[in-house]
Amino acid sequence: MSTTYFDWAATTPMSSEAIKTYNDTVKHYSANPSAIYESGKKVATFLGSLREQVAEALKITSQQLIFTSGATESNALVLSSLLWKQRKGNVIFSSLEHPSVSQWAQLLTHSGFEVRTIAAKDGYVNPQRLKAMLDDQTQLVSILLVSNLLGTVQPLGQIAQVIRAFEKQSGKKIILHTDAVQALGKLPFDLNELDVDCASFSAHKFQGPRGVGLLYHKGTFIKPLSSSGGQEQGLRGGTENSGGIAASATALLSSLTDLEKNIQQVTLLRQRLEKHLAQEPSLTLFSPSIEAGKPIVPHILSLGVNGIPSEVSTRVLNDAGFAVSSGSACSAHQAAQRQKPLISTGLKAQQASTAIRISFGHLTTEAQIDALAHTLLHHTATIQASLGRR
Amino acid sequence: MEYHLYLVKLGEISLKGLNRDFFEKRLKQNIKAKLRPYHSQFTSQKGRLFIRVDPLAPFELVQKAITTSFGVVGVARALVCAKEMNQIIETALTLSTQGRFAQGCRTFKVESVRSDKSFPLTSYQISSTLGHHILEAQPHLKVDVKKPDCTLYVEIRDKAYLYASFENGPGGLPVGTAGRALTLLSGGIDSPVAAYMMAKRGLRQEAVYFHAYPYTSDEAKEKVKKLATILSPYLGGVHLHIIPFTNAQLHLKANGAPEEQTLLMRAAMMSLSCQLALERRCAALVTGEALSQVASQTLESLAFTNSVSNLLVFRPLVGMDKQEIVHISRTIGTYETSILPYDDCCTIFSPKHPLVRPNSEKLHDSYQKLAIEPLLQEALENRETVKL
Repeated sequence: MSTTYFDWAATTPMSSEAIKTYNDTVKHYSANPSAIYESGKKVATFLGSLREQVAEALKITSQQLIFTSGATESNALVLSSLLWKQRKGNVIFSSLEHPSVSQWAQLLTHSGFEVRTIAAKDGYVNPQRLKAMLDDQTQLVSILLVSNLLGTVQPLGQIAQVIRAFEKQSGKKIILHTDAVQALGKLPFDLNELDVDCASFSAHKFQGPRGVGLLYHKGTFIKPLSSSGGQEQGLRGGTENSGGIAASATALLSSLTDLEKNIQQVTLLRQRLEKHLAQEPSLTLFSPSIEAGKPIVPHILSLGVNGIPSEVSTRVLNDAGFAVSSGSACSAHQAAQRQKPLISTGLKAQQASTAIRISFGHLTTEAQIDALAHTLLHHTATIQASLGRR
Repeated sequence: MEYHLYLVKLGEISLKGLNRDFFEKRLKQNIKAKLRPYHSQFTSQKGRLFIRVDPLAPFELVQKAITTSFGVVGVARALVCAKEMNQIIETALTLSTQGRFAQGCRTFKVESVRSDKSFPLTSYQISSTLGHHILEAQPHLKVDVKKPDCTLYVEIRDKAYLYASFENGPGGLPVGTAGRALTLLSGGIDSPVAAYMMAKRGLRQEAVYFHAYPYTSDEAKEKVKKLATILSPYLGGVHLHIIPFTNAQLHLKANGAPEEQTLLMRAAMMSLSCQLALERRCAALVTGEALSQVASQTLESLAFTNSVSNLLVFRPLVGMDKQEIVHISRTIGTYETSILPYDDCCTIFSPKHPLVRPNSEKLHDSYQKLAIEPLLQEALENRETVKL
């Protein structure tokens, strides 16, 4: 049985254009770009033009762009740079951060930093609450742009304003980092307007290949995790993944070109899905409804199936041919960790343990949405009945 | 073809009287089955089993086959020669260049025993003669009779048997000498240890696992299969019966009082296990329960679940604390699998406040009202059985 894919927030199918670019590049640009012979120089020139294209698409300079292996590495580059600082101070993470950010709390704490967490009531970080947490020891604030669990878009522009105002007052620089993996190619935004110091992206979230990430950075605070041949301005050693970078550029340009059209299409799918789900009283939306007018991306929808652990719902849907994400685990000891971000939004632990995440893309069809909703409604009703709840 | 000789020390079996043959015969069968397809021949003398094995059989396989067989106290690869001192010395010199002697050994001793009292040298004389020759041949070695790095053993029987690398066995009685039982195997730490403990007393076992998909994952089922696979050499092979328990579990959830859920579920499992045991000619059940470890294992709770069974129920861990159980689990190699994070019971079926001191009469009443037997019968009929 083939599976219909509803886990676009985890990874997206690589586009055929990106696959073609990848194949062409590894075939025609096979030399090491650091080599001084002709074929090497050709690859270096090609990479330079790709860097220009990507930077231009993001409205940044090519010097502000580092190609990495993914957002996990981009996040690590930013957060590990703090370890070099003489003055330790504190860092602030939002409670919604992906583990590739939040798990740095352990090492940062061990290294003398105080790690503060700002809760995201109803899925949003409150800039005024953040303001109250800043002090002259704050070194870095990391807030993701779009929650991978809920799809909520954080008020990053306002957060930046609060931070810049505080900087003026204290006279000390605060680095503002955003993990924007769920935003690029899904949401129009301008890095300059957001006024962040650094931002992480991953190509496989916008139909590019796995193993390629981007890091936007301003200033000189980034220190390399791996130093080797001086690639990426000396900030990320290792032979460049030419094929992956070229395929990523293709996927990015395509997703940005079609952005408005795709958003409109996915918004319609979201509305359709929500309409179906509203028929079942034991389903509760954890993400804001598309109709509520709150800032969200339409392609990510978290919901709870009343009293049914998310793993169980995920298995049932998987057996029926739908791949959705389980936000937590049936096992109590695992659940506590994995449910933390959802609980921070105000959900009770019991509710959070029932969360499943449905995420889709512009290739998803109305028929697939209908089929998923039909199956979810049917199984929810069956399970509730078999448990004697109706 | 010169067979490799293994000398096996027997423990409790050698204390048996007239029925010792029965135990030895079973042990031979158990080891022979594990050594297949390699050919093996068995002879026994008082307190010893001599196994001659096809030299093509890998040493590790033979070692594992013997050291996982209950009834074995220890095993060593041995060399055999005629009961003449010249040959014994030559064999001892050969052994002193092999195995542990060749792995950084600095001190040694020789231990000799004579079953054949007509041998002209006493045990002490044999040991000192061999020690002298080994010291001459290997001047870097020293004798240490209290804490030697290596010991060379000599047994003068019908022939002279010499060995140096001795591995401990698990002791106990050969599996199959104490009848058959059905073990309730979960994915946890305790029940595999219980199975091991009862196998040690010679019990042959089949195992039953209750699978409530999708409320428990297929990974949990695979975990139990893996545990049964790890136990299999000790159990002399095992049939694992996987019971599709979802409908029964849902029926319990829908019709039972929340605080009674766990005990009613365990009662249902005991009831089904009794039926399965009878069908599979098993005369007892085995569980991994330890007194007061959890709410369902208090005296009152155990008394209730016990009363559902019409078969003898063995609970070999009943008086052990968790650390002791974990220690055995690590020793037999099940611990790392047992702690994999795939629970055998979904949180949905675990009440927040389970009964700790249940009223047996009231619970029996609740159990009867459930009328769950047809569902258990259906589950039993739809079981999947794997031989591991």
